[in-house]
Order: sequence, then C-alpha cells, then structure tokens
Amino acid sequence: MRIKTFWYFAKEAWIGLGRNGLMTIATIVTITLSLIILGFFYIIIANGNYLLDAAKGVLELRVYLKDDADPYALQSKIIEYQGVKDVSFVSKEESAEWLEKNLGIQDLFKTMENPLPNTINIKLRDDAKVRTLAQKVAALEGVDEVEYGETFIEWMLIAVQIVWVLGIGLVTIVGIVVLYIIVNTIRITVFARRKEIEIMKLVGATDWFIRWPFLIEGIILGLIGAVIALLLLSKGYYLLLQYIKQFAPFIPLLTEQAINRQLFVITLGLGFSFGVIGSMLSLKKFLRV
Amino acid sequence: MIHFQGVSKVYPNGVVALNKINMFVDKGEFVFLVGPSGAGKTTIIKMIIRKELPTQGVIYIGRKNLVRMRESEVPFFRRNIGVIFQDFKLLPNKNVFENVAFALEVIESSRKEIIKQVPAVLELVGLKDKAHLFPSELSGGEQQRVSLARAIVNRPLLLLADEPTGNLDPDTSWGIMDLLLEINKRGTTVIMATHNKAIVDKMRRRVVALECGRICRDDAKGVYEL
Repeated sequence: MRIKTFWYFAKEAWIGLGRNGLMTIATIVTITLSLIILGFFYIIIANGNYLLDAAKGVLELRVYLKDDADPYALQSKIIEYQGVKDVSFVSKEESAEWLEKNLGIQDLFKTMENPLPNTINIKLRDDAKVRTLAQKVAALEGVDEVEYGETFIEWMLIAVQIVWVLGIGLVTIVGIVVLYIIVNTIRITVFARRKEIEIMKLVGATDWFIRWPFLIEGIILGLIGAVIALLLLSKGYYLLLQYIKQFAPFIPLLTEQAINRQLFVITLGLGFSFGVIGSMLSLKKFLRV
Repeated sequence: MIHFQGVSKVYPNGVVALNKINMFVDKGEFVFLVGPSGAGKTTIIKMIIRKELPTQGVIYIGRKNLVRMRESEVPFFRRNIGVIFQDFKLLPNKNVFENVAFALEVIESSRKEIIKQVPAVLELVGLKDKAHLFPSELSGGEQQRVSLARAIVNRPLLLLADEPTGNLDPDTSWGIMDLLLEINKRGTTVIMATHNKAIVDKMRRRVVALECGRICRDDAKGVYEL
C-alpha cells in the first residue's frame, strides 16, 4: 500500500465518522458499555480462580489408610501424581500421641486397640485438580478414605464455573448486539458512499481498496470504545481494591497490574475484532456491483 | 477484440434478456447497439464489463474469457475499459478535476500521473477552464464530457457508452458524438447503445440491432431502422 493511499483511507474513514455524528457516539458508548460488562465478568472469574488457587495452597488432603496397607509404597505412588507438592506420613501411633497430648489423657488406648488409622497428608500445588486427585487417591489399594475441605472447594469451583458459563453466554449475546450496531453505523457511511463505490468498481478499484476506509472506520470505533472501557474498568478495579484492602484485607485479590494487563488485551482485542467483523459484514452486499 | 459466442442471459426473475447472441467486434471499430428498451442493449454492456455473467455461451474480450475469469482479476480487467452512462454518475461533492482524478486515485496511480493525465484529458473534452467547478454548476452536456474524461483518462482500449445522449438536447449530443469519434479515431474501440435515430442515421457506422434478446440486423454502414 502506498503511503498516499493510506492517507486517503484514513481521511475517508474520518469523514465517515464525522458524517454519522450521533450514530458514531452512540456506537462508541455501546461498545464501551459492552466491553465494561465483559471486563467485569473477567475480573470476577480471574479473581475467583485466584482465590481458588490460594485456597489450594493451604489445603491438605488427608488420606486414611487401611491397617494392612503399605504406607511407603502408597506415599511414593502419590508423590508422582500431578498437583502434589509434598506427602508426609503420620502413623497411627503418632496420631494417638497427638490426641493424648491434646486431650491431656495418658494411655488413651491402653485397654483397646488403637482405632486411629495410618494417615498420609498431601500438600497441594496451585494447579492441583482437587476433586480428581482425591478420587484417584481414594481408588488406590489400601486407601480407606480421603478427606479434604470439600464443601468450600466445591462451592468455589461451582461458583467459578457458573460465572464462566454466564460470562460465555454474555460474551455471545453482547458480541452479537455490538456487531449489529457497528454494522448499522458503518452501513450509513456505506450507503452515503454507494455512488462512489459503484464508480470505484467501474473504473477497476480492487475490493480491498474499497474496503479499507470502512475497515479503518470500524477499527477506530472499536478501539475508542475499548480504550474508554479499559480506563473505566481499570479505575473501577483500583477503587474496589482500595475498598477491600480497608474492610477485608484477608481476601487475596489479583493485583491491579495483573488485571490491567489482561484487561488491556481483552478490551482492545475485542474492540478491534468487533470493528473489523462489523465493517466487513456491512460491506458485503455493496461490493456486489 | 470482443467476441460473443452463443451468449444467453436469463435473469433470476425469469426474464430472457439475451438469446444465443453471436457478435464480433474488431479492434478500432465504432458500433451502435440499437433496439427498443428491454431488447438487451444494457445487458450486453454489463456483460462486457463483467458485471453480469452469461447464463450460457462464452464471451472473449481481447484474449480474456470472461466466463472463466477469477473474481480477483475483474478490477484489473476493468481498467482497460471506460464506461459512460445516461445519468453521468459524477460525484457531486467533487469538482471536475477531482471527479476525473478519482478514476486514477482508486487504481493507485501516482500523483505525477494524475497531474499529467487529468489536464490533458480535460483539454480533449474542452473543459480545461472549468476544472474547478462542481457538477451542479455545469450543463448536462458538460457533465457528460466530465464523465467521458473520467472514462478515458486511464487510456482504455475499449469505451462503452450506454445511451450517452439520452439526457441531452440534439446540439449537445452532437458535441458528445464528435468527442466519441475523436476518441475512436485515436484507436479506441467504441460501443454505444442508443435510441437516438438522428445520430445513428447520420453517422453511417456499424449498427447492431437487437430485438427481444436476438440480433436481428448487423450492418456495416447501417441506419436506425429499415
């Protein structure tokens, strides 16, 4: 592409935006709002996952063994599993001692056999899939029972999954709405310029030459909307962090930098894509000359 | 130059616009397409610029087979053809110079080329002094000249004119015809669809008469009606 041609495209795109006036503003506002909704969901999901990982870090799986099981063989098997950071063995005698000490009673199991099981404690890594791992360990020969903070973890997992599903559904719906609006806005420019397009086709302009100004117009719409959304989301998250730090500092949340980096990619990426797809769609009919 | 072989065109609504047409136009010819409205004149012109494809038959323009031409080739193919219309198709927000230059801009000609070609072609059509005027400030004949200038500024081998005098009074029409003859003299093949009996009869050029999608007459030095 010649530089002159690029300026021609940019100028035409600019004229297109100016011609639409109110529609341009309305479109940008819509894109901004949509991206804010999407960004909001992203923030919830990202922090949900983060919280879950943080929870896993302090979580232990307790594996109760049958008396006839070989704890050392099991231990070496479990440590190989994905997501396992460390394993430690606590024998039934040690458990009994611990219990006696805690209860302040000597010779607790003097008259009966020690009912406490041998135990293997599993420390988890952040990427551990808790439920799968628990099921896998429970299925091992010699394992009696596996215990973990089921309710909390499962609740969190479900919550994050629900937000995910909602988020994907919303992205789809919002995406369609945004595309529809961009298509309509650009179609006004296309319509205003249909005579030019006809002449361009007649004298042998390529389809891409005709498309570029509209493509640039769409991209500008998408990117302006994205930048505004990004600024608002970023500011909003900053305020949220301040608030939570003050009133609930024990809740681990992603840092501003981490969120901003992702929001940057998401908002600008989506805004750009919306613009490109929208302008391509709005031109399809008019290029058949 | 132009070769129609058994060309038929049936539009999706069932109208048969052309019915097994055979036509050959040599390089440098001047051809009138005559016939009543709906006879298929405009369809022939649309096919030559490959806006429409035949339902049946083959069209060659130069060595190009239009039926087998790829979509991506079409723009480059069209750069060899100039077209003018009854309604001029000028851009109202551009002045005369810009309207003509537009045809070069959109095929990415250099600025040097534009500055050289546009004044030359405006001089040919006699509008050098009106380059800065807008279409609304021009008469119908002048507008058609601008449109003609735009059609030939890229020096096409073939010029198509679809009722170019349809909106013009007789005197102005002759002005346009003189220009078309001049362009033809310089080697450009000209095909003109028209209803203008006076012009056709006086010019005594090749006349291809169409009726109901068929060629009913093809005379080397013809008249509008027999």
